[in-house]
Amino acid sequence: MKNRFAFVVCLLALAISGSVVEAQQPPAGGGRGATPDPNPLSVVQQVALSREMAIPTALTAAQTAAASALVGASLTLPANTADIAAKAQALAEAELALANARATAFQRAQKSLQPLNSAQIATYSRNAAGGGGGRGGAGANWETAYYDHTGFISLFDGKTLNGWEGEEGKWDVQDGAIHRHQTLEPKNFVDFGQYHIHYNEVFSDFELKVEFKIKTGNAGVQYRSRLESGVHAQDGEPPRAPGGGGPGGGDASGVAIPQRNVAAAIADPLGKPLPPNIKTLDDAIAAGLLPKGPLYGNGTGHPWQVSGYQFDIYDSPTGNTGSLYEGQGRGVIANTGEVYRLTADANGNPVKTFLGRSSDLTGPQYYKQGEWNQIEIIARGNTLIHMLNGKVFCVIIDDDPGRRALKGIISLQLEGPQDNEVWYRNVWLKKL
Amino acid sequence: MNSRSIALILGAIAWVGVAHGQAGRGRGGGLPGATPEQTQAVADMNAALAAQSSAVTAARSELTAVTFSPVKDDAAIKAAVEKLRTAEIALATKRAEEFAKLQASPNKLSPGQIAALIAAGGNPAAGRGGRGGAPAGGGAPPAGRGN
Repeated sequence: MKNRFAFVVCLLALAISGSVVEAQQPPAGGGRGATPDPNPLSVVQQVALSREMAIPTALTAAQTAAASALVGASLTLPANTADIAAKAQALAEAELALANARATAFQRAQKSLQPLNSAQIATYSRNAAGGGGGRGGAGANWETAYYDHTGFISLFDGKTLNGWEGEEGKWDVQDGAIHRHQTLEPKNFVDFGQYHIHYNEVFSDFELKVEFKIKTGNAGVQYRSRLESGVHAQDGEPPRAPGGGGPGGGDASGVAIPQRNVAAAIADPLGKPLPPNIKTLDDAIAAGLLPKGPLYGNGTGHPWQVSGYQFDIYDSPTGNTGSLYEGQGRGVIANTGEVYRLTADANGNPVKTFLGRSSDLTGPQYYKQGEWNQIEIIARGNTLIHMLNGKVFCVIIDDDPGRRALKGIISLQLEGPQDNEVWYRNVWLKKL
Repeated sequence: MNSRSIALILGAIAWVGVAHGQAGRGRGGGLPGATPEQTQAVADMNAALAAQSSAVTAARSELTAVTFSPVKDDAAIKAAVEKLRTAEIALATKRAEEFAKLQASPNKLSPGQIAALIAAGGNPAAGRGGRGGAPAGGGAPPAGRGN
C-alpha cells in the first residue's frame, strides 16, 4: 500500500512536471513549432532569407522608439493631440523606411534560386510581422545559420588527424586547423605540388561546412571524389580506358601513369587500401607499387591523389573561388555565378548546358582574402550547390550517368608553388 | 516508505508547483505595485480600445502583406503606411481619452506605473510581443552585386 501510494505520488509529480515543460515550450505560432510546416523553406531559401533580410538595426530601433513615443504621448496629461499627431507621423516615417528596406531585401531574396511560393510568403510575412520565434523565422543572419551544427557530425577534432589520410609528413594540425605549408621535394618524380588529405569514409548525400584560409596559391575541397591511383585498383578491376573521352576515360597524356578505371573508381571511391607500411610516395615507389619513371607530369598516379568534384579555392580577389572544377575529369564545370546541367551526347561525350546565372551573381569580392572563409556544399542526388560566405556561387545538375558521382570521399587539397599555405577547420557534415 | 522519502516527494511536488506558477505567469507582469483595482482599471481602459487596436492590427497586417509582395509596390506601401498612421492616431487619441478618465478616478496611476505602462506598449497584459522580429540581425545589406 505504501509503495502504491508512493507510485501514485511520483506519477502525480511527473504529470505536473510534464505540464511545466509544456508550459515552457514556445508558442506554436510562428517559426517551426510542433506541427510540421506544410511548406518548409529549403536550405537555399533559408540561406537567402537569412542573408538578404538582414535589416539594419537602426531602422528597427527607430520604429520601436517611434512606437514607444506615440504610446508615451497618448499617456501624457493633459492630452496633446498635436503631439500625438506628430508622434504618429514620426512613427509612419519609421514604418515606411522599415517597410521599404524589408521590401527591397525581400525582392533580393526572391531573386535567389528558389523563390518562396505564396504559401511560404504568407507564413514568412506572418512571422516577420508577429515577431516570429522558432527557427523558420530567419531572424538571424547567415553566420548564425552557418554555425548551427544541429544534425551535423564533426569530421575534424581540431587536434589530431584522426580519420584523415594523406601522405605522411605533408599535413599537420596548426592552431586547431588542418594545415599544409607547401615544400616541394622533387626527387624521382616531378613534384606537381598537389597534395590531398582525405577523410576515410564514403558519403553520398550531404551538407558540408568547412572553413578555410589560404596564403597564396590554389587549393580546394574535394567531395564525392575518389582515389584514382592505380595502387588502389581492386583485383579484377577493369583497366583504365585509354586516351580519355567517353565514360571511363580520363587523362589523355599518354604517359603510362597508373590510374584506375574511372567508372570503377566512382563506384568504389576508396578502392583497395594501401599496405600499412606505405606512408609516403617514396615508400610506394620503393615497394614497387609505382614505377620509377617516367616522371609523373601531373601527379595523377600519386597514391593520395584525389579526383572528382572540387570546390575550387584561389587566393586572389579576381580568382574563381567557389567554382566547380572536376580534376581528372571534365575540368572547369561552372564558374562563379553559373548554373549548369551536365549530360552526355549519343556518343558519350560530355555536354554542358548553361541554364543561367545565380541571382547572387557572386563575384570575387565575396572572398575574404587572408581571413577565414566559410564554405558550404550541398550534394543531394544529382544536384550540387556551392556556397561561399553565405552566397550561392554555383549550381550544377549532373545528368551525365557515366561521369557523375553520387557518392565519394571528402578531401582537402593544396597545390601550387613553394610556400603556398592553407588551413582548414570546423569540418562538419550532415548526411541528407 | 519512510518519512524522509515522503518529505522528498512532497518537496519535489512543491518545487514543481512553484515552477509551474512561475511558468504560467506570462510576460506582461502587470504594473509595479498596482492594486487589483488599478490592474482592472487598466484592463478596462484597454478593453475600451479594442476597436482601435483591431484597426491598427489590420492596418499592420496590410502593410506586412504589401511589404512582402512578390513585386515591390512603392505606392501600395505608402498607402498602407498612411492607413496605419491614421489607425495609430485613432488608437492614441482614444487611449488619451480613456487614460484621462483613469487618472481622474481613484485608481490613478503613479509616475512609475505610467512609465511601466508606456514600456509595455500601453497594455501590460499583452506584453510587448516582438514585432518585426524576423528581419532583425545587424549589418547593412550587401552593397553591390558582383559580376
